[in-house]
Amino acid sequence: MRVNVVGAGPAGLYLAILLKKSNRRHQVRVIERNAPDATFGFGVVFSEGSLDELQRADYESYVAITESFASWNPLDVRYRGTTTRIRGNVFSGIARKELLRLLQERADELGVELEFLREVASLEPYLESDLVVGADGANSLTRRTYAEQFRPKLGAHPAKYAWFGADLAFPVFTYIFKETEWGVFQAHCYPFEAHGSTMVVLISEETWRRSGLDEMSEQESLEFTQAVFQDELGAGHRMLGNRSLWMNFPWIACESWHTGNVVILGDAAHTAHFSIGSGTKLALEDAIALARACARWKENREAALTEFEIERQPVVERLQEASRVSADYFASLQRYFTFEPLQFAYQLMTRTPRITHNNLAARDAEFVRSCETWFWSQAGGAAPDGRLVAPPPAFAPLRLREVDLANRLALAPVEDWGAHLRAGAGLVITPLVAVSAEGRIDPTTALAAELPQAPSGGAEVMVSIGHAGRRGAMRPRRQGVDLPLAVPDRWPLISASPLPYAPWTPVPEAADPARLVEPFVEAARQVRELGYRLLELDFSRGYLLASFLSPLANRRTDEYGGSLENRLRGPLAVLAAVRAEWPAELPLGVAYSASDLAPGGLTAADSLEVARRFRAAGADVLRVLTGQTVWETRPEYGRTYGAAYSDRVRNECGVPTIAFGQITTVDEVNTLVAAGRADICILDR
Amino acid sequence: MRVGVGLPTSTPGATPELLVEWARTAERLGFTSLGVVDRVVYDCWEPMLALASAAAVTGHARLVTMILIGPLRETAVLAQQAATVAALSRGRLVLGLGIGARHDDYQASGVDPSHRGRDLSAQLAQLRMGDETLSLLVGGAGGPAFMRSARYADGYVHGGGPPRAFAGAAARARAAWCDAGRPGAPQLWGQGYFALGDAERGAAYLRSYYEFTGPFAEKVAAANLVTPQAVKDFVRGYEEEGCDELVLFPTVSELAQLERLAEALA
Repeated sequence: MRVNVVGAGPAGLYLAILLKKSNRRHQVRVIERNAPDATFGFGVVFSEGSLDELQRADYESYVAITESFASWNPLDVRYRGTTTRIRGNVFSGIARKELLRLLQERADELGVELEFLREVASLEPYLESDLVVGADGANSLTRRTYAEQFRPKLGAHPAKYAWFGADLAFPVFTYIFKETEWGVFQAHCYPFEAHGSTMVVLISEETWRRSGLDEMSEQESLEFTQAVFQDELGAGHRMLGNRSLWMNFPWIACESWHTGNVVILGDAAHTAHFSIGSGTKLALEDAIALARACARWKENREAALTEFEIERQPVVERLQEASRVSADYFASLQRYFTFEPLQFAYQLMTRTPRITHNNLAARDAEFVRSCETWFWSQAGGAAPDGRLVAPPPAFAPLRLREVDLANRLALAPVEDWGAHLRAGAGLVITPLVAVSAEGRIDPTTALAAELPQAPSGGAEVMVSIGHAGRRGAMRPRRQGVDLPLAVPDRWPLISASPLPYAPWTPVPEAADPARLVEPFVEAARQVRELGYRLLELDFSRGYLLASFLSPLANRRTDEYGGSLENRLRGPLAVLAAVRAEWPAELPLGVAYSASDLAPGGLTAADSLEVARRFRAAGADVLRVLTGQTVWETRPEYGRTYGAAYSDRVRNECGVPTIAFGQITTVDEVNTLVAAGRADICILDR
Repeated sequence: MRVGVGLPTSTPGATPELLVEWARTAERLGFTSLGVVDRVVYDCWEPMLALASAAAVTGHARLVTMILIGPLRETAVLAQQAATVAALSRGRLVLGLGIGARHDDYQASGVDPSHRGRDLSAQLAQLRMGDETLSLLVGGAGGPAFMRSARYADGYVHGGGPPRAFAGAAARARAAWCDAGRPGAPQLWGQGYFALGDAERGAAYLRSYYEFTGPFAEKVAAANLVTPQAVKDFVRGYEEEGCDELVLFPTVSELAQLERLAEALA
């Protein structure tokens, strides 16, 4: 087999080695535009799991590479003058130059033809072969040439980043978060040799402009950045540049990675954000999978390339998804700058759902134990002084005004909530209790006036009062949701605007804003008289007050429709009036849909503004829900899917939150609560 | 977990005699349901008509579409067909609906696919309102499919794959159920393919059936259950993940396949 590999990065060289190894008669040529020792970037890092695959694929290069590794197990988080060390994270680093040198040597030894300083301007001269491999990096000519076949999806992350070196070895992998007058500068620093580290520096677009970096030369930018980190570097140490330009991280994903005799791998086919340190490992694993498929299918090239793609795509997709979550985290972490160092570090470690409280405890039991005791103490848990162990975060108490919840677990049953009071959760949230007969969802919906006396003992009960609006007069939900009652059984519906909820549901009348408030105040009074101590206003999921908030449901032209200010007017009037009625020592919550999950819905910025206004109007806790404000939405279910919304609301708006959405284990609750993404979590039924 | 079996309506060489005998034999061997698939632009028998035939020669197996491409059918007519099959089978129909995966089926049917999701939601609501006793399931992979199954149906039909894939989908189906505020829990149906003793023909059929997915076809073909051990492991895997009913579809149109499957499961 004659193979042309375009690009002598880790992917191209490693593939050449493996192909040549599997069959000495293969003619493998690698074409590279740079000199053998000209490489950009400093060290590369391997994190996540083992390198067993490399050991099996080619023992010689594995030994050479791992012998040159700098490996370290703890990582440091430097934030607000404190260094927090977390153990149990295996990372290895190697100078990129060294990695390439070792691979070049091995390739040469096996008889791979290496052609350096040859620019590939067109693939044309190389196509006359059995296999053409585009290992030509994120800016791949091969991918661009066959864009129609590979159907690449390209994007750019909004944050700016640049690769630098430093003339010292940080003791371990180190995250530095530095607050400056221009914004936060983050550095991800990994030592890769005795006197050298890589520093990837990340800043927001605004920080980049505000600091003037956008107009600086490469040298000026290096000096400026060094000055920012001089304390962490230590006197006399320098940062180093090597084409250290500020860039946006490119997202690359392709529907297909092969066409005819052409195949792409590594960064040419897919990128994964550097913050999870998997790019090089993915590239090397691609090479292994491709070489193995070629060995298995021999003459049948199509089968080999198909198998390669099928094997690798799901793996790559999973990592890309995790890397997107991680990249977004690093781009938005300014919202966590009020956190104590311990919680900040915990949040950093659990930024993707792959690492939970239990996973972290397995890595560094002591760190997790100190997080638990810290969390317990600040939550007002008993005997805070000198505690060495504490119950896990899910079981820490929470005080809302003068009501104490035993723990952070909540249940939101849809039927028979009274049966859940002794299930172990500190809070039970009732299904919607209607403020009036016209406000019922269906004939079985409870009315505030008909609630039983508040139970004593067991969980605290939060009575959620609301008006179903245009989602009223439906059949009981046993059979389905939003299925209207037969015509004679219906009652008249109201909503912000006379738009039916779904095409088959009745058209409501436009609600009279002057009559919104009184039923809620009256219901609050009734709930209080029955002895309940927690009240929630349900402004979520397309019910009456939600229809005022969502631009998709509210088409009013009076002062209750149009601008966000106007759309908030109805809900805020209800909230203010109920807050005035509800005793000052008792907490009041609001449930709202933080996103309509539909085009044209509440924007992310407006959603946060809504939360801020609710807080200002006296809401003590927000139940952050998503969707259902209109009938046809695009929800994304997945593990703890609602937590991201709760996180944003809690930490951007400074209000306690209740998270909901595929939270099914106490481990998940521990993680979300300890990381400050929510104060209370509703466990799925 | 109950185990059902697919009818040979899209495998090459299906005959009327085989269909009838297959349905009878499956029921005799203890399979609890008979499943059909739906494709327009493919050599495939119309699913509701096939189920009507099966209804006539069976007495207790449930008759399930996995899935029927709902938006291709006008809702009133579909409701009538469903009512007919339900009547002929004395209430054994389980109507699984989805938007399908292929544009060519829409083109051939003259249906605009651009709002097929909304159409399916509306259709499900109409069917449910028209007859609350009709069992409805929804299939499909995205968030909207899970949402539809929770809002308008009795459960979710998974599209196939290893037990791990089913587990992920089942978790989402349950989450959607919770999100929608439905009491109770969704019924969860799974499916797989088998060819016992004739792996080559089975793989050839799957490659052809899934040709429209490109390289994915090879993957489906490779996952075909071709040994009794593979069948056992697959069934156990689905059971462990909380599947209520697993329907195994044949990839070879031979009655002997049924006997071998029953033996593997014995």
